[in-house]
Order: sequence, then structure tokens, then C-alpha cells
Amino acid sequence: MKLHEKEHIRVLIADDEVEFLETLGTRMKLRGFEVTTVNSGGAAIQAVKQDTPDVVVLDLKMPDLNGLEVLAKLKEDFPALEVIILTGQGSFEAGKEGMEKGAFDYIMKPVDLNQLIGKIEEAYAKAKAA
Amino acid sequence: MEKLLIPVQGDFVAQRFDLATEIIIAEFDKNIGKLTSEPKTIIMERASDDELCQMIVDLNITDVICGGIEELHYNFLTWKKVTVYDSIIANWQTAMEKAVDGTLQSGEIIPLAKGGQLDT
Repeated sequence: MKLHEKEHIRVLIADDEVEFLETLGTRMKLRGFEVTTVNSGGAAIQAVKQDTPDVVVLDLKMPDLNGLEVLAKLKEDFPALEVIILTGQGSFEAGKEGMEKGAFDYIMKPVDLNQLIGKIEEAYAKAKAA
Repeated sequence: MEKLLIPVQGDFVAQRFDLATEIIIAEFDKNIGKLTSEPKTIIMERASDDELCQMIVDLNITDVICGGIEELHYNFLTWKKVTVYDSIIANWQTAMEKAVDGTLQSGEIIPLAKGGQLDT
């Protein structure tokens, strides 16, 4: 049994690409995660305040607040919260910047589901160990 | 070693190549008719037939299983020496198994086995 199946890791995914969000959310639910999806930076902050998840997966490019702004706000209010950044192809520097600002890691799109799940499990284990 | 790509929608081969955001990639050896690694699930940022074609070329995909595909993209892929099994209506795992063992043909409709359930 994998870690996420045993512990029901709660994940918030924030991305403005609705099809991507729905597909990723569905696949992760099928793998045993408790998933909440939102399609803007502001909604991500609101969702974390209402019910803090174990791990946040955050897209960098969103129309209202971008991922780095959301990350900064979340780290200010919830310093122990682990955040994984999603970046588009060629956004290597932005991903690095996210890590400098406290993100656990970053992953390039298109997303390899197993790779993302591995990162979420690592982030969750780190949060639990803290 | 061959590399297979299938645009999927849930459990099934996606009805349209240009509308899929979920991709399965599997490596196999056609000489022994077996997968050589666990299939990977890739989630694309948005559905795009051009980006999918680019991915197929970049990843050196040798075989594609799909539902409907525009002639332009079909011709591009076959020109790039990619084997395209098109007009497939099937559970993606069954279609993949048939492609790997060399028995899949374009236009095949494979009924769902009784008691089939959603794969993760």
C-alpha cells in the first residue's frame, strides 16, 4: 500500500486551466488522495484558510494572483504548509525562484502523474516529520 | 525497443486526438510482445493536437493508438514513421495489450469485458 492510500493525503490543486485541473483531480482521487481543486490564486488562499490541506499544488500562471504571489502569502500565514509549484515548459527559472521562496519543489508541465505523486508524498512526509 | 502513446479519456482511448489532456506512454519490445516498464500517465496543460504531435516526435514515439484524428496529423505522424492505429474504440489497457502483442488493427472496436472497472 502506498503512503497516500494509507494516510489519505489532502491535496489542494490550484490551476486556471480547467481541463487540466479536472483531469489531474480525477486521476489523483482514483489514486486515493483527497483532492480539492480551485482555478485562481485568490481561491487557493481562501481554500487553505477554510480547510488547510496537507500539500498544495500551485500553478505559476494564474490570472489574478500568480503562483509566486500565492506562495508568498501562504508561507506568511502557514509557514509549515508544503507547496509544490507547477511550471510550463521553459519556466525553469520561475520554478527555482519558487523554491527560493519556500516551495518544496517544482514540476514541469506536462505533468508525469507518478512523479507528481512521488513529490506530494515526499512533501507530506516532510510536513509530518516537522 | 518501441514506445507507445495513447491519448485517453478516463479508461478509454480518447474519442478525438485533438481533445485529449491525458496521455499514456508505455515502452515495449515487439519481439517478445511485452511491456518493458510500467506505463506512465502524463497530464497535458491543455488539449492540443499540435503539441501532442510535437511530444510524439520529441519522445521518439514509435506507435500511437487513437480514436478520431485529423488527416493532417495522421499524415504528419506517418511521414515521421510513426505507426498510427486510428479509429480505435476500446478500453486503453486492452488496446495497449493488443498493440504490444502485435494484434491491434486500425478501426477495431473492442467491447468492454464484463465487470470492468475504472483504472487508476
